[in-house]
Amino acid sequence: MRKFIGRFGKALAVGLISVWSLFPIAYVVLNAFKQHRDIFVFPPDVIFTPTFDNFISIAEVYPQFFGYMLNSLLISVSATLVCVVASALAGYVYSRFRGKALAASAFYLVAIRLLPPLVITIPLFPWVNILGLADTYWVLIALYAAFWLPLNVLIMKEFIDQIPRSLDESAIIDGASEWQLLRHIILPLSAQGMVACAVFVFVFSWNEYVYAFIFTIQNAKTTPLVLAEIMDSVTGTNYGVLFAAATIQLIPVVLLVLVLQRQLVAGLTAGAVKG
Amino acid sequence: MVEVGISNVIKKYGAVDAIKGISASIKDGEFVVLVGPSGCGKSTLLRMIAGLEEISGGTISIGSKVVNDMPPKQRNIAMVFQNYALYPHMTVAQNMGFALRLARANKAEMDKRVREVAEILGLTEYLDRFPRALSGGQRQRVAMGRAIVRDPAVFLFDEPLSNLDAKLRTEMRTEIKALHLRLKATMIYVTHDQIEAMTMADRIIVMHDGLVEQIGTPLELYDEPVNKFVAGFLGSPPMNFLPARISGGKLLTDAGSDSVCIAEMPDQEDRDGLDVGIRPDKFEIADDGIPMRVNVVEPTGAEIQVVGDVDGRNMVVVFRDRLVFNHGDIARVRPVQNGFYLFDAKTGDRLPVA
Repeated sequence: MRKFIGRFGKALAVGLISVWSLFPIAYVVLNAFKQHRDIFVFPPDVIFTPTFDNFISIAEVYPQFFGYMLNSLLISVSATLVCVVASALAGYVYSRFRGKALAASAFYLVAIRLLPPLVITIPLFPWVNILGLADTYWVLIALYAAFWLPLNVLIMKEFIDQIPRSLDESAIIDGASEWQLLRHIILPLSAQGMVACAVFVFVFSWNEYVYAFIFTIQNAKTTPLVLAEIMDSVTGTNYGVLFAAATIQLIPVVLLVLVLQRQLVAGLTAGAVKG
Repeated sequence: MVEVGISNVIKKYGAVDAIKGISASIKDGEFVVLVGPSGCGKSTLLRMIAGLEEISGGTISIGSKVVNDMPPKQRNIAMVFQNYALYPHMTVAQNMGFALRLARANKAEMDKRVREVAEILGLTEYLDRFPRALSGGQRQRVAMGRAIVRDPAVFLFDEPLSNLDAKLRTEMRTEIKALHLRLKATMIYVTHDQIEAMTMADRIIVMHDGLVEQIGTPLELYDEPVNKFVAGFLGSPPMNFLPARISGGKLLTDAGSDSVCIAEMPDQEDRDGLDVGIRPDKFEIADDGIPMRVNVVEPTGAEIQVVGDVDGRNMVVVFRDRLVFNHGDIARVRPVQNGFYLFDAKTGDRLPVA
């Protein structure tokens, strides 16, 4: 009986969590395929004839939407690359070297995340203008990469800490330079960490609103801003179109996670040393 | 010629002296074992030869070159680590060929060389496997293969067998020794296991507390230890030590209220503060011998080991005859003729017996 309660409790918990996290997504995706008039019907129809009208309307009403999606993609991918490469290199340094300056910099790395992001953002505004970076890809790439850098550096340090030092030493004796050691040993063995870091930065960059709102006007505008515009529309919000756009916006993130999931293979370091 | 010269080498970690001035010269093609209890500095010394640790003082030379400031890859050495340190994301072949790949060797030549070495070590059928799919012994072989492929001037082994089970350890011991005969390369081997040291070495360097206690062939060290530490460290079961004194031309040890005569020493002056050392197999039964209380009897077939104590001091005696002892018996034993060593109890130095 106790066993049954335990199992039932577990199933219930899993069910609740699934509903909690899947409900908004299901709501958005299902409603994207409904006629405008069916969206707010109560009780909602679970079974209905799907329509692609909303998706077609995006192309008609907001033809720029796909251009802004491309902006989002370029910015997110670039920010991800910059952040992951920098985090991996910095993580290696923090993992393998010791020193007062390093310890101090590690402290500031963490400390800066204690401040509310806006406190750092506002003073940036005049500088971004002076440097002529406003409304460019560069400013968002730099901000997104920088925003996740501290945490990703720590994640990479943890991953690289797991790689036994004797592998470094073995490679050095085999004749590897520092760079070859990184390229052939450290980076391949911390790939899992890099994948995790990449997912964090990409998902954040893809969905980020506040920085994009502050630092872009037209050229570097990203999809979340467009979604907001669709919602604020003067002629009344077309919810069908909004949900369709949101659904399209979901696709790259879902694809990314699905693709990278395969590479999140555990136990890559098994067999390096005894055990 | 690739001798390895170690001259007055010192290693300091902050205020701690891990190695306090060591000199030794290792000949071309020699198999030298660095042995000592943990913390004696043997691994540190090996790592300094490899170039993985900086040298705080003195010089190390490989061949004719002083290598103090030379990075490991220029030293022409290969090292086998205690935990194997195989690259987990590379196959056996890739692991073994990694050094050649870094040296930008021709691909065909590299494959040929890896195959040759795999052949020697019996790894041919495992070349495409990853380390995680190998047993401990196979991983150990790959680690050695990785070293052999490079054809280095000096092989360094850092306790390479201590992660293997006893049977495999014995097998690999023989294999490494055979490998040495075949390759005729200079090999320096670190272990804390004195049996490995005795069985494998051309010469042994016994280290203790950052210093060299004695250097010599296994039998030299076994037969003529310079001090109590070396005498007690080499040999299994270890040498027995009893406090002793010379009085009236007799070597005496105290057992309970009695003084037992261990040997006649008519030419020696009276003196206190001695330790007598007797190897377990150098005892015979004697009615007026040292009274040892028998605690445990361990027959191994070829011999029997009797573990007991004299006034609470542990003693191990090995007999080849099938004598019968029971728990609690008092066995009276004394060293055979010339079967004992004398040491100064304070300094541990060995003293002449004759």
